Amino acid sequence: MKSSLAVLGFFTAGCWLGTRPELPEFLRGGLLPLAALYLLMLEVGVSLGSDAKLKEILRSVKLRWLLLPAGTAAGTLLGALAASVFITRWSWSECLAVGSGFGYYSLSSILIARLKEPVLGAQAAGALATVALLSNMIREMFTLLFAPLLVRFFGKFALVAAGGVTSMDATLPVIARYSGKDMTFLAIVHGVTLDFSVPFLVAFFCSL
Amino acid sequence: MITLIGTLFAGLFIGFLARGRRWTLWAGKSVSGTVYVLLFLMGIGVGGNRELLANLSAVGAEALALSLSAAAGSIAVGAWMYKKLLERGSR
Repeated sequence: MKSSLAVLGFFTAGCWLGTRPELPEFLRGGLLPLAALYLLMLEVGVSLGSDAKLKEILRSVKLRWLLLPAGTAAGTLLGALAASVFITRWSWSECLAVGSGFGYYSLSSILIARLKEPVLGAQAAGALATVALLSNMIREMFTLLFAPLLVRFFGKFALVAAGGVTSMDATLPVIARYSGKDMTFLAIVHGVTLDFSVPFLVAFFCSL
Repeated sequence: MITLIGTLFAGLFIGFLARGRRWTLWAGKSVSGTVYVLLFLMGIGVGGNRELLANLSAVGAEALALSLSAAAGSIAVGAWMYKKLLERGSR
């Protein structure tokens, strides 16, 4: 929760600074965010690759556990498709691209901004990226806020599914608390699987 | 695109080779820092986007609609899977 607030804080600070005309131009380009994104990919890779505990967890994975992330992905995409009927500004594939973030707000928004710029132009791509950012952030916060209710009315798996990618880190503590500690490994595998699928699915839907 | 995934896998490879070394712990911690920087830069992009700022309430509404319906879809599937699991267990 605290880190979500910090993220929101940095984002808001950036927003405010972005409205100032005296801001140096190099901070506005696409080059810096792109460099930061590559750095993020490298860091995530190194931290995952060097994690001995993660290896243990993945070794104990049963193949049928992959049904849950597959189900989460399918449910998310169907939900996003349903919403796209009411959202007039964006096409169904653009809505699906946003949904494919599965809660991974930083990566999905930057990817969409970059991939959609040649097609939509910088302003519109930025707008879609912001929708992706906000929507995936809301998803994480929703999961955190309603965790106990989700388990009570929909069962243990539903909480993990709601969290999407965040079930491996940000929402893992509430999953352990409300779905039970024995769900921890499944939640991590669920999150990691979706984590890998985000760039592929976002890119795929952006290209349609 | 490919280069991004490639970078991720490069990181995985490096991390695997360097597992156990102390500096790998920094990688995990620096992820948060990089996310902050990334979001800060994204914020700057948003702040300078006149068209976006003019449509801010629309953006918010769209984001809310997408997040809730996406979450609802996942929750429905998760609930169904759990129910199926329980049914199988009681047979």
